[in-house]
Amino acid sequence: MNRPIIEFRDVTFGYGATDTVLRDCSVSLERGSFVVLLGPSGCGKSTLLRLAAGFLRPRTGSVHFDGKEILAPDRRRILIFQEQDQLFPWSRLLANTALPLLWGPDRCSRSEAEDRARDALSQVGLAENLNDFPHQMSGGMKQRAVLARALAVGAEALLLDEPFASLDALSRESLQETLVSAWARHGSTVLFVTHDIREAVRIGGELWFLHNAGQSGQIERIKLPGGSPQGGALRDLDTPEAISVVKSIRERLTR
Amino acid sequence: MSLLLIPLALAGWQALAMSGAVSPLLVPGLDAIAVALWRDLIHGTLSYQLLFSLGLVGAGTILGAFFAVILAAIASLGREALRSVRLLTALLHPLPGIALLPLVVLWAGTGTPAVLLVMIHAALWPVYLNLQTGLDEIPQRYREMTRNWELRRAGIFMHVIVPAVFPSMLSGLRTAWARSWRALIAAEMVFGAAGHFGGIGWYLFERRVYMDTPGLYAGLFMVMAAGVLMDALLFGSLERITARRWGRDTR
Repeated sequence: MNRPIIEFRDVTFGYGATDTVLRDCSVSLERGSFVVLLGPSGCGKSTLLRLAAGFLRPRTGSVHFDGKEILAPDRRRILIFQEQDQLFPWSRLLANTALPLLWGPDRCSRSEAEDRARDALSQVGLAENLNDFPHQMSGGMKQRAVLARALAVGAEALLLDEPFASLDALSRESLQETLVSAWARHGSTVLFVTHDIREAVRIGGELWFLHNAGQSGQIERIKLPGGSPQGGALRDLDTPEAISVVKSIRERLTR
Repeated sequence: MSLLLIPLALAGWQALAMSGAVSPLLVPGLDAIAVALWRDLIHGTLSYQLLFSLGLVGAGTILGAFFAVILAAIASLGREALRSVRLLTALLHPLPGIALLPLVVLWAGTGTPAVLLVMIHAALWPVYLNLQTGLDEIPQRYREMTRNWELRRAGIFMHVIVPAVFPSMLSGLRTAWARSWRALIAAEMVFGAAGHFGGIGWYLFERRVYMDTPGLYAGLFMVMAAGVLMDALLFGSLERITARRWGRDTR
């Protein structure tokens, strides 16, 4: 359980020749963990996710997945963003979900792909919406679908970049529950970027703070009290402990 | 409301024709036009000529679209290729097909191939420009997702690129059709009958030669009707269906 699934080894990265977003960053993500990455905007959270996915390559150092260096994106690490443009508007939900199975390296038959897609969709509560077009679905439903598709594709690590940021409060809470229960059921590893402290405390097993860009060793790891959430049991934010945790994190972030 | 304009205009026309103020050679009565239309559609060759022209335009548009796809494929090879194709388009797109006629006659004579060349020119550039816009507008995220899933090229092409550019391709075809239609009628009037059989443009030309003004108006009416039918009924409804399916329809 404690073997690292994603490992950053002395990673330095910058977009231009001169700027540096990450410097000498070494951090590892254990298999099955649920880590929330917090930090001020522009601190390199999304960059870290993209490095982990393989969409970016470090300038120096390396990123490893399961012990092997990551050279390109692959379907064991799926990136998920805010809702727009992640479902194809011309396809119904079932076809949207089955597409990567039909045309990916697995070369599933149509019936197998659709079975797997249907399965994944019903796990996130979309069994009734298989024939909907994306424009008929709410933002929350779209994000459920995107999550289901990532699981159907066989993602071992879910790399989520503020996936619920544009949802209303109620859908956001219910999506958080869906994500945590999917994580528990599939034994996936989650790296979740957000700038919402309450969200971080509600769902996170461990928090990573990413401090100002370009400084070395800028990731600070904090185990949240009560261990990681298991089986969909999310932290209650109204307890005095939770309130004080949220408060202390806010102070650290804004100081 | 705007539909009321048509009977009003027709009534005004008929009143003008019946008043005798203008020579019937310039403004024939609606009855004379209707008789000419009936005569030439049913007993004459007007319907064949119309179909002949529509067929040519269809062929020209399809060939133009085919070359537009090839052009877009070339443009996708790299930055320099895209620049070259854009330059070529910028130079040739504004050139009216009719201006090319003397050159086309030199190269291809005055037969069907020459007419086709003019129509390909008319169709190619609007289709290419729309296609390129469609390709440029494919969200970057689609590329990332398909890379992330390790989608095969055939899957990316058939299930992402083709459906993503379909609406722009359709509006390109719509413009291309209208341009080729105009280009064809102009070309036919200049060339006369290509070989032994001419299209609707040739019909118009002949009517003028015979001073058959009602026939001339009948021909114009058919050109207009064909244009409206193709544009509104065929392309219009295809675009509506696509917009709804693609979720662009907000009604």
